[in-house]
Amino acid sequence: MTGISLTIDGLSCGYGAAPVLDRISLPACSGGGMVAVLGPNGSGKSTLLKTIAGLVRYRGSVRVNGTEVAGLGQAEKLQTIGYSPQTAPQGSALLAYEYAWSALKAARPGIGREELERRILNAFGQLGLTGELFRPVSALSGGQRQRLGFSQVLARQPALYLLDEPTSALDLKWEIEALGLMRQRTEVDGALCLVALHDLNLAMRFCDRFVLLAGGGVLAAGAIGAAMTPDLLRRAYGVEARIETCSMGRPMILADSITSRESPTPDTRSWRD
Amino acid sequence: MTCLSSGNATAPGQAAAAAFGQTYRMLLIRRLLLLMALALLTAGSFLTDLLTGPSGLDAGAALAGLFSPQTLSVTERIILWDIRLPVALMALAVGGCLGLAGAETQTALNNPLASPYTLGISWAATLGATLTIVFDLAIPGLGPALTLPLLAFVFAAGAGLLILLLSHSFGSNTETIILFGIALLFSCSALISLLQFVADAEDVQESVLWSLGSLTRASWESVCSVFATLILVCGFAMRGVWRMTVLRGGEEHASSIGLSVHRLRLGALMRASLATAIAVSVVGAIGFVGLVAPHITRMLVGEDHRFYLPGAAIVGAALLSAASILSKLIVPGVVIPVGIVTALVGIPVFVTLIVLQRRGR
Repeated sequence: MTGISLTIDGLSCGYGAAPVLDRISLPACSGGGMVAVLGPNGSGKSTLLKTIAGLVRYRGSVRVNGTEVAGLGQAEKLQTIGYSPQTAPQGSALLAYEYAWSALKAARPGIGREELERRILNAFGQLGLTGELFRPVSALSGGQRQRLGFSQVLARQPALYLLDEPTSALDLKWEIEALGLMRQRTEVDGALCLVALHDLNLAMRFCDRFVLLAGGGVLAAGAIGAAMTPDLLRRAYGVEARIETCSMGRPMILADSITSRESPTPDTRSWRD
Repeated sequence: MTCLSSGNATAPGQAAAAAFGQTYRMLLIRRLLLLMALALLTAGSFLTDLLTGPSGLDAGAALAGLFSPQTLSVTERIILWDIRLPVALMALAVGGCLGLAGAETQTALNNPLASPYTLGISWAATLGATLTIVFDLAIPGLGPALTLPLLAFVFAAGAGLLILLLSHSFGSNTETIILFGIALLFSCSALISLLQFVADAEDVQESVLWSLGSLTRASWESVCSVFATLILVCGFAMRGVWRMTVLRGGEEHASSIGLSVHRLRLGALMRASLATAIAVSVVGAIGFVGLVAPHITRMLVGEDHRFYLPGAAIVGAALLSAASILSKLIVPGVVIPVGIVTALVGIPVFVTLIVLQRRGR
């Protein structure tokens, strides 16, 4: 599972005539790290993740382990890449376990029954879902459903995790648990994780690097502790913010007021690291 | 931060896994038993259906005649073996087809109000059948006997494709799809009326019987053809059963694990159209069964499609068989077309479903 790499070069992607992301480039990311994908609403965070997952048509180049994503076979793609969409699994009479089982079975048909069972139980245990194994998805809370969606990706054990706002419905404890778990996967297994987040402080705490998207391009990218500045936040989100150090020595972002309503334009498309 | 161990299974973890395995196996066994109980219930309904009827043949004699036909008079033997048995079997086969088709369309369109009837697929098939009757159509080399089901299927599949196309371009939320279905239903119904208006008296009578939905035209040949269709469609459906289960997690989740939702939907709607068309080409448009059977099944065995799809077929068979019994009991001595019975029961149930769904949101 080691040696995962991701390079994005001159990538344009979107759904209609106008691309959501226009000719963006990022240098190689490799395993063992977490990259926060940041940006205001509609800046293309989800589109970027979907494109890397091979679900959106694109121009340019997206290479996973040196192979173009568009050229990857279905089985290979699912083995390497685990994409978790923004929406949680919808309510149905399916039991939580059946949901995870059928998803895993469809994604990784090669895995045997016992191994599937073990992986699901493990993921459910780690995400505090063991008590919900036999409850229908429709009876689960929003946070539980989101963890259920996440558990299925965890159980697949890919080398590249693409998580689209995995914590949007989670409480404080599960935010920390879920991202901590992801952090552990990157550190122990050498996996690479790209995670779209709205909570910048969570990003500062759990991620090493960041990509800040705005106006169809990359506004900034780099080491999250060093390269994140109030100026970037103003340009990306249009807010006046402070970055201060908390009593435990961690940088914290505090947004104070709104600066402007103009849409920001990227002035740099290079990746600083 | 809590430190979580990953991968290495510890002793308590194994104990939990063993306990889980046992609970899950019990659940599977319970569902299998439920399916068998449903099958038994269906068999009971089938037997009752066989023993009731407007003719003087009493239940005891009919039961005896089933095992030793020589005890019956020629008339009684004809009533039992050539009228009641095909009709009772037809109720099972058609009910099974409609239940399965309903379950598939509800999953494919992610819509609890979908069924071959509410989507207009049944009516499109009826339109195809009416066209064949009124214009005495016969495809060269096939003859009228095969032209009718074929044309019914072509129309049903066309309706299925149209629904798919419309839901693709206008969004596939619950209301939109049902609106399209109802629009299609009324259009087909109007076209059928127009055809009946221009047709001669004999064709009109046949076509009216068709649109009412009646089991009484069942013959051994048609029973066999509907059963064969049911087995074929069921076989195809069970091949992709995992993928259909995944679809219940939502479209986005299904595509996130590499499933082509469009292809899954197309496949399911084509299977549903085939089952509906063959059923309709023999008995006409029958509502309610395809809509309600999946709901009952979902309540009983959940939505793991390994149980849900066969369950919906069994429940559909039981429902239509019960409706067939009812159609003989409402007016003594007269067999009411079963489509009228299912519609009478179906309309209140349909309304209740809509109300419950609104309240559930």
